[in-house]
This record gives sequence, C-alpha cells and structure tokens, in this order.
Amino acid sequence: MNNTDKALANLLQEHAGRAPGAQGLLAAVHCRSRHKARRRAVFGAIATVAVFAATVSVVAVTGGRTANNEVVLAWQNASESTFLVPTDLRPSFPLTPSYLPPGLDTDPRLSAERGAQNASWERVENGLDGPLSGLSITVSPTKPDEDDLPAATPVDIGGTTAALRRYEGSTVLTWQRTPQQWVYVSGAAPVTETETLTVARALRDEPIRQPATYGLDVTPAGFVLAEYHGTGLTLGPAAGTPNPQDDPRAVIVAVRRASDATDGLGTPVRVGERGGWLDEANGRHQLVLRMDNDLRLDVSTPSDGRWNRDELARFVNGITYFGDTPRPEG
Amino acid sequence: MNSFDAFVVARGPALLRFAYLLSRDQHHAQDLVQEALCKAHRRWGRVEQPEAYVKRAILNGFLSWRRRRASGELVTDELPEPQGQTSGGHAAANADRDAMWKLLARLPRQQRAVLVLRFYEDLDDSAIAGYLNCSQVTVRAHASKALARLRTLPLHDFCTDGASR
Repeated sequence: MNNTDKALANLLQEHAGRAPGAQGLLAAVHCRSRHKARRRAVFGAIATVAVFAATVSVVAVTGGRTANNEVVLAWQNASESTFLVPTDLRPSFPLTPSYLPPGLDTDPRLSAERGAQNASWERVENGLDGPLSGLSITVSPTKPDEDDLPAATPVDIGGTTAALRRYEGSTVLTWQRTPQQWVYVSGAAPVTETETLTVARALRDEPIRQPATYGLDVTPAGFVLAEYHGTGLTLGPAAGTPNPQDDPRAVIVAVRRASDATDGLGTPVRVGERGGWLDEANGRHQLVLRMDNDLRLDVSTPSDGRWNRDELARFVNGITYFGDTPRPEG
Repeated sequence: MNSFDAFVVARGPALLRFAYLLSRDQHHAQDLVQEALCKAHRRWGRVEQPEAYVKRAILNGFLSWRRRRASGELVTDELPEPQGQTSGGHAAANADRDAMWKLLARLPRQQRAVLVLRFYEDLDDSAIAGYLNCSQVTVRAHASKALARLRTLPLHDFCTDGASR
C-alpha cells in the first residue's frame, strides 16, 4: 500500500463510524417487506396467456360468518354513488416504432409508473435486477434523471439533437420530442446501437393499445388508471400525485403467485365465493383472496369513511382478471 | 428469532456501514440496506450466501441508474476547492481528509464502489469483479482511474493520523 492507499483505507474506516445505527432496522425491513409484498405489481410473463379469469357471482350476501369462521364481507349496503363504471382500462402507449429489430416479440409489455409510460420488448429471463436486454421506450413529461450518466454523444433524431450514451452494454438515447414529451430509448443485446437509432428515428405518433388485463365492474368516482404493469394496476385520483402508489387514496390491485402473497395476515374473510384475509392496519384495507391454489388477488384500498367494508366488498366482487400468470417475485 | 432476523441483527450494522460509504448519505444508506434486505427476505430459503447476496443487492441499488433515487450528486472533472493553508499538522491532515472525502463523492459510482470494496471490505479484484459483474480488468481500470484522481490531493500526516481516531 502506498500513502494514498493507506490514507483512503483510514478515511473509509473513519467515516464508516458515521453510518446510521441499526436500531429499528429489523422492524423497518419487516414493515417494508410487508408493504411491498402487498403493493408490488409484477411485470407480466412473456408467453403464457390468459390462464385465468376470475369470475365472481354477483350475489349479495348479508354478512355474518361462515362455518369456517370467516367473516363474510357483504356489499348490500355499499353506496353505489361511491362508484362509477370505468370508461377505459386498456393500457396504451402514445408512440409506435415503425421498425422493430429482429428477434423481439412483436407485442410489447406496456406499463406506466410515476407519470411515465413504457413500452418494453425486453427479455426478462434474468429478472428485474438482471442486465437490460432488448428494447425499451419510455415517454415522460419531465426530463429523465441523467445524473451520473456517462458523457453523451449528440446524434440527430428527426431534426432534434438527442444524447446518445453507452452504459452497461446498453445504448441509451434521450431527447425532448415535444415541449411536453421526453423520450428515452434503450437497446441492449440482441438489439444493436444501429438498430436502437433506427427505432428512435422511426417513432410515430400512433398509440399502441392492448386489451385490458382487468375488468372492473365499478371504480371509485373520479379515479383513473394511474399505473399499470402486467399483472397489477393502481387507480388514483384524476388530479393525483406523480407517485400514485404513495398516495393514501390509491386503490391498488394485483394478482400474484401464492408463494409471493401474504396469506394468513389479518382476519379470515369471504367475499362472494372467495376466501381470504383482510388486514386493516395503517388506514388501509389490505385484502388477499384466493383465486385458486396458485394465485391470489391482492387489493389495497383506503379504509376511511368512504371505503367501509361494504364498499370494499362491492369493488372487489366486480374484479375480473384476464392477464398472464405472474412471474415469481424476487 | 428466525435465521433472517438473526442475520439482520448480526450483520445490519456492517451492512449499514458499507451502504453509507457507498452513498455518503445516512437516509440513502438506510434505504439501500432495507431494500436489499427486503429482497433477501422474499427469497431467504433460496439464498446460499446471505451476506454476499445482500451486499450485491446494495451495490445494485447504488449503481443502478434506473432504480436509483435522485441524490443530488454530480460527477465533475473539477477537484474540490483547495482548503486554506494552515500551519498546524492536524488541521492540514483534517483538510486532506475532507478533500479526499469530497473527491470520493465526485467519482463515478463504479469507481467509488471499487474503492470501497477494495479498501474497506478488503476484497481482491476477483471478488470485486464478482460483486460488480464485470471483469478483473475493468475493476483494475476503475481503481486505477479513481486512485489517480485521489493522488492529485496533497497528503500531510493523513495516513498516520486518521485511523487511530
């Protein structure tokens, strides 16, 4: 070790002592795990289609308990004025690439999160934490965070200068397409840099629309489809925050594998023909219902005056899922 | 207490120190560690080397520009402003430490991660390459570039003065 090496080692040892303490860490991790397990919407599987459609008979029950001592959630007293029929729950993306590199699925996975919309032809065999692979296009009303990215090379995209960066094996293009629209195109093997540029130059203003993965008989009045992934969605106030899942008014619906669900937390309940558990902590209804042996319907709503158990049961009873089998989480 | 809880209790402080040296921010460090532990928790039964798994998750969270939070850090080619010249040896050494700590913050995250893994975790290049999912050549390149910048700083009695505190 030379002097600089020793100095650095000493410095790191010294500053390590200023790290935050671990008191409360375990409780915080459990709290976060539980919260995330409930609200995490899982990106959809690639190939499996429509393996399950949850249909629930619309038979209002009157409450009470079942023979298994489940609390029956009834909706006969639900306030219909609380809800409206949704107009459109189909995922969409505002741009269409006229060119797609070979080797990718023709149908993208569409998602929306934190105000940005994404169309992705990515390969996801490596999981969400794996390296990027494939093609991803994101549009956002705000400039993407470019802090700490490598130096950019200017390139022309339809008369606009875009920033081209090479990062972790990816080619990343970012440019402001309109005053209200930033576009971000990322390509990684098998997509080449040339193909990524071709995709970016071939974007046209034509929405991609896909069939809804959920049917909802009723939705909260004034709420819109704020975020969606392959097997989950978030309904938020029309004038909601940029982070709908963090909005205390958010209504979050997800289908997840039984192994990733939080079975057994809360009170045993029954809604229509489905049994499950209702947890009512922290100002939220957290309801997990068995769809079959392997799948769970996970619904999180506020538990304020507007959302009593009747409203919750009415809402949940109207949910139908047409989507894919979720990928395993984690 | 199950094995996951026992792991968090036993290794939580070390993980927080590791995350803090990477992020230089207490809240960000807590966030990184909690997030990494959440991931480990979900698949605890399948994790063969928990500490390595969690550290890798911390590194991924720190390095991933897709998943990171805005930290306000900026990469720049400019060195920190020189501290005022002082006559005292301790003052000069303190100024050196401050300058080095600030310069660490200005290094690209990959370089900073390599330095923390090498000089705090005391890992060799092979192990660092495994953590960062890159080649040993890349590790050495990151370390070389980072140390070259650090060597531009003057060092007074720094290396003998700092560690004993």
